[in-house]
Amino acid sequence: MLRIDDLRLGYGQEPVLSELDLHVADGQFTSLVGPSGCGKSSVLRAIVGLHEPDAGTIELGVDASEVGFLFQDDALLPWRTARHNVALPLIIRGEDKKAAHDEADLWLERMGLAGLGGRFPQQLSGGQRKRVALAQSFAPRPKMLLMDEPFASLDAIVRRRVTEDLLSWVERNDITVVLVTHDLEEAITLSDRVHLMSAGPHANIVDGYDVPLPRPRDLVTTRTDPAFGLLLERLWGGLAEVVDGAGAHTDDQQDTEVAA
Amino acid sequence: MSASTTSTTRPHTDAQAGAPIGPARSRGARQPAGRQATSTTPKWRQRAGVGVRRTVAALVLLSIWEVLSRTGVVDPFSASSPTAIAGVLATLFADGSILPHIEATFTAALLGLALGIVVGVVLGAVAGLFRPVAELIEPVMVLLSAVPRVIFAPLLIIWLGIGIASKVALSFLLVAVLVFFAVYGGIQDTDNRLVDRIRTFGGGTRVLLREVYVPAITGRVLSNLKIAVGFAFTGAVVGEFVASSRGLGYMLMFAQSQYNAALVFALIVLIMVFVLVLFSLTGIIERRALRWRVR
Repeated sequence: MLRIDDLRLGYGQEPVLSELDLHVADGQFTSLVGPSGCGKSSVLRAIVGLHEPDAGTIELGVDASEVGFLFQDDALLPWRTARHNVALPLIIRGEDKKAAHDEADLWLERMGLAGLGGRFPQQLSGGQRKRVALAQSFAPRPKMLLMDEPFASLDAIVRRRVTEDLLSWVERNDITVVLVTHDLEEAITLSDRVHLMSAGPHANIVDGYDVPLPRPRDLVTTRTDPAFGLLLERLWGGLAEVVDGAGAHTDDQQDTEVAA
Repeated sequence: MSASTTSTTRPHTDAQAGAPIGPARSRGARQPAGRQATSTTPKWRQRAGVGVRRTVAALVLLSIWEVLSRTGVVDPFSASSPTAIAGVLATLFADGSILPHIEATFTAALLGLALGIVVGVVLGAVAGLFRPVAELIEPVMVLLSAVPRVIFAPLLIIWLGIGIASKVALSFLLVAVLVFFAVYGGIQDTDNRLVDRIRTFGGGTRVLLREVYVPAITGRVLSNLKIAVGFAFTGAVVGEFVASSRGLGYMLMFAQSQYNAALVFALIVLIMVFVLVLFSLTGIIERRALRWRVR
């Protein structure tokens, strides 16, 4: 189980997260939603070790090498082929280069990119690059996958196809996922539980919503389920409260400043 | 999502996982064909056409020059003529008198180029990776890049003599500053997302150097190689202008002192041909090494 307790984190003197608790059960798909700039991505960066927290504890529940991270941008090495990009985490882990490349080819084939392993990222379309990034994240067979708005830059059709791939892989392999997204519908469609964060600074998790939708899920039919609509309405309400609360807080501050 | 929820009511196989991607891939695969379809003339033929047109234009200009010189419209003593220049070149190579000068200039330029690249890469990389070093080196390099560095030629000749060392030093100075900024800038501009990506895989400094920094630096250096070749020859020839007993720069000064326009033109042509050949070679290296930039 991923356990984050009392996490406090900031950038220089600017506080971002404060007293944040997040527990994610093994194999659970969890989404973090909240106002823009509240620090959702910072939670993921802290989990994966890219940002040192100021206080608090993070227990991964798995080995650090078993955590995959999918960025909003594909972040592929432009000077390496798709094959080498996918093989890279395996090579870093100590696998033989030839074996890693062979395995990368298998992953590319699974992602529908057979025969494109020798191409460089610039020679691939946006959707193909995202699939390479997915293959790169899946190749080390992670037990936990952290995703920071991974499909935000894709057009609707490609986004749906890539999301379907992701969903099927995650469901079959029982991977623990923490997804950061601003898209509430995407959060509900994919997740077992959606956590709502407050507006920063000093953001934390203010509410959690279980998603009462059966698995495996289909991206289209899931959205026609009445439970989907009800949860979406609740989530919108919660988000509006958070945003309005932050706005009221700011207004209060301004009033105070004016009065002073 | 528990194990029990991962039922088999919607079975997925590896092939099925890839199935929806098929159309996207085939669409991607069709793109090059689509682009080709818009052009009816093969690329090699288009290039050949451009080459022919350029050659014809050059021949026409040379013919006009020849006619103007022969008819006395322009002074043949100061303007010379294409056939006179060709005659001088033929003589220089026939008697072999030019060869030691070519050797001297090439040696100075290529040694300066090699040293400049090595030192520029090392200094640029160290400054890019270690902030305190950058704080020391960067102001010096900014100053050196802001001034015309050939002003150091007299000083280098005082220090190193009129032999090849002073020419190598001037070429080196011109190239090293250029390469330093290429490498230093390359590291500064390195995409932090790539660094983060490698770190999330557990990669350390060695992996970062191999997978991110070295390829990024190589790309920057190769992109600047053509300019560096030009700088290296500038350094060698200017050094020979100032004080020397050999080299194409020395020959140019000699030709100027004799008011021998044909020899000046012949030497200019020679230097241009050599630099163009080196430009082509660096172009080939650049294209091969930077294949990843080709869409």
